[in-house]
Amino acid sequence: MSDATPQQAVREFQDVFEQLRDRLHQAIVGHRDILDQILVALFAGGHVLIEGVPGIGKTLIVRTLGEALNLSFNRVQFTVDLMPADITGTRMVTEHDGQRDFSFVRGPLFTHVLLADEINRATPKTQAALLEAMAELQVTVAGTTYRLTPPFFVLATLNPIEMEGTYPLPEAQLDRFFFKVVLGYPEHADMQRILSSTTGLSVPAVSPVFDREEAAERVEVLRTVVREVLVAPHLEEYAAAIVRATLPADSKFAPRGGALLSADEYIGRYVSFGSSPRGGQALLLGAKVRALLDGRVNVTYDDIDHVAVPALNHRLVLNFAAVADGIDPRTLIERILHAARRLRH
Amino acid sequence: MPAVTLGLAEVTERLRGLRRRLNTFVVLQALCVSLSAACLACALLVILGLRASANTFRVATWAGLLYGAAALVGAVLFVRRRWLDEAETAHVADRRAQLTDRLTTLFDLGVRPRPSRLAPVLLAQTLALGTRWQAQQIAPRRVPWSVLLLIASILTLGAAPLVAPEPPVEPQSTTGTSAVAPTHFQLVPEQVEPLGTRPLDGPHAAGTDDAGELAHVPPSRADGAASGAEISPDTPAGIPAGRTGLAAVPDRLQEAIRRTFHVQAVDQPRELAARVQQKDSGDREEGERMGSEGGRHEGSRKPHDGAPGSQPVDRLPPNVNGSRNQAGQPDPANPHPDMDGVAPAAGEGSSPNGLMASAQDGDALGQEATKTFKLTITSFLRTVEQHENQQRPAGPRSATTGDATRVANAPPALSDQQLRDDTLRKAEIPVEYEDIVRRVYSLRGEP
Repeated sequence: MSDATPQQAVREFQDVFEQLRDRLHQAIVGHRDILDQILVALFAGGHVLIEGVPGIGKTLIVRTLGEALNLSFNRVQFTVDLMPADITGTRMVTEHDGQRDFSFVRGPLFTHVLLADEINRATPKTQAALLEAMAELQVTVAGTTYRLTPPFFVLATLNPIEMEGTYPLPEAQLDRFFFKVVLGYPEHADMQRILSSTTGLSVPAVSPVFDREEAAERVEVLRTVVREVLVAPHLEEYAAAIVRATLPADSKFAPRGGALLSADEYIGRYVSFGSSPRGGQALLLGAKVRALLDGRVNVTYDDIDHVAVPALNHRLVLNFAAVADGIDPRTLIERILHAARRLRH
Repeated sequence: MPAVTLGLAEVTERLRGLRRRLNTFVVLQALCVSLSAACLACALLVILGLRASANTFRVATWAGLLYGAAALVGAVLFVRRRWLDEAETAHVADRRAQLTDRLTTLFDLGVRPRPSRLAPVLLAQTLALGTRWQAQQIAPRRVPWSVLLLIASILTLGAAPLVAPEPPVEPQSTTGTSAVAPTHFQLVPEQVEPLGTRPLDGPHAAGTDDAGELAHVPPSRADGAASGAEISPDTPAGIPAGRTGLAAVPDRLQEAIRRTFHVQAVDQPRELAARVQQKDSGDREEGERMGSEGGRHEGSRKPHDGAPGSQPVDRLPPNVNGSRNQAGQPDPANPHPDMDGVAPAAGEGSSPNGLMASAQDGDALGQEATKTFKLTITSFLRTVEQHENQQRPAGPRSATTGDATRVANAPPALSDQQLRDDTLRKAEIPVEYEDIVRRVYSLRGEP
């Protein structure tokens, strides 16, 4: 953006986003909204947790995105015996000119796009190895901190079935994911297209949008553009009110008073813990990307509403009553959004 | 960012203009609505002032004042609630011009400068959409509904006097009479009706023109009599002495309304009947006193004792007591002032030949004399009926009616002038009353 004018930067962002969307749609049938949300999280600087049953294209999406961005891409299949050093790297004895020395061998974490497949099958210790990398873009091994090269983009998949022998992600780790998207079964027409396009001789190839040398820098520039999108104070207040509304009224962690939205009875009945401030950050950053995609440089209420469900649904910790009553976080967030409409000017 | 600064200044200036316009509309709206409310309240007060009783009008006046105060407070609150500052003006412009919060964001950027290279883009977009948020687009100049409401209210206020009570058709009246006289004609049966059942203790015709005076008494004064207040010499006509200052505002207002629209009708027949009864009781007491004094009228002053709220004769304004002899002044229509009060059938209380004198005065005094004459008949009828009672065998009540008997035994006071003016009297009296008068005169001839 240093050379381009602001108008050109906005236009470039829209162009890149559109190209990436086209590339992904070449390889992936359907799931348009999911793909958009993944791209939004990518340019907002977050990580995405993809939940879906096996065989619906989770890994394909991530791999295609890596190819389209022309960034380095690694895949880690999380298993129960996977150790932290297996993903972060470890110090090994190496020999140079007859001298042996310990040197750090980087693990698969050192990449731009990381696919953590079935992350819930690894132990919490291994899962926790991702925490520092996801939040701070650095890895500390044996007292030495190693910086990751931006952009660093983690896409973790989660298998909602076969939960036996799995380790549900702790709330702290869930909170570090920018979005959580749920990949459902494709519709009938999409299923037919998937079958026809993947059972022939030719597999659709994805051409990269960026050159490999400049890809990382381009993505970083576009992320900077996103952060420069303007947000009016009343929209910040709106986002804060939504996040505040996810907290149960009787929670000992919730502040007393000051809530712009009245306590929702569903939240009080079904939610154990609400969203953290990271949820609000995700709301605004996602809304900024939505604004840019719409050609605007300022956020609106609709932008915030549009990203509220993927930004907050994994941050609501539901209790047993919600499970028993079949209440999912999406329902609760939509109730909050409905109540928040009265805050709009 | 000089370009941004210039652009922000332009946006801010346009927002100020828009804000002025929107706030002007708000003030205009509040003003029109409150004025409409005031006009409607005034119209209601005028209608009530013309048609309702003084008590009703008094309540309505204070309610109207409260209503006006509430309207004023409501207008202030309305303006305060809708008054827009610049940020809210930006909100309104955003919403009405569908600028998707661009103006709000830009205004905030001017208030809280932030390092964003996208600000020029936002400014350019906002200015490019400038036609959408021109003041004419956001708040077009059109006549607000509140102005129409105000016009309708003013028209209502202007039409309010049209609902004033129409004077009832005067039965066979040849001279110009006011709307008061027919009212009394309608009330005569009510006055006569209780005579057969009510004991007549005093000389009702003892030199007073009861109804004649009532015809000129403003309703507020009559109400003052009902409430027992006394007339103070310092208070204006029709205002009871008990109500001075703020308390007398409704009375003064109703009086002013009636003067403005030249309506002097008594409010309600029932109210008037009540007043007549009060006057009757006052007259009874007066008759007793006069009987004890030999039936001689004092001439100088005759307080209406029975009507506590009534006004002394010499305090009444000329238009109120037009046909009455002023205290201490010789009555040109009454050549025998020393006979005041002794003639039971005298229409004019101060003259034994007042019956005809009133008719004579009808030309000079206009409507007042006519009304006085007609109501004198009522008093006269009572006296006659009392005379009949006197001729009955003396019962247990005879002792209490001694004064009345003395008055009834007085010689007839019909003068030659009355007889000469019989033609004129016939012209004034409706046919049905003429029969009654003849019957009464025939009774007087009996021993």
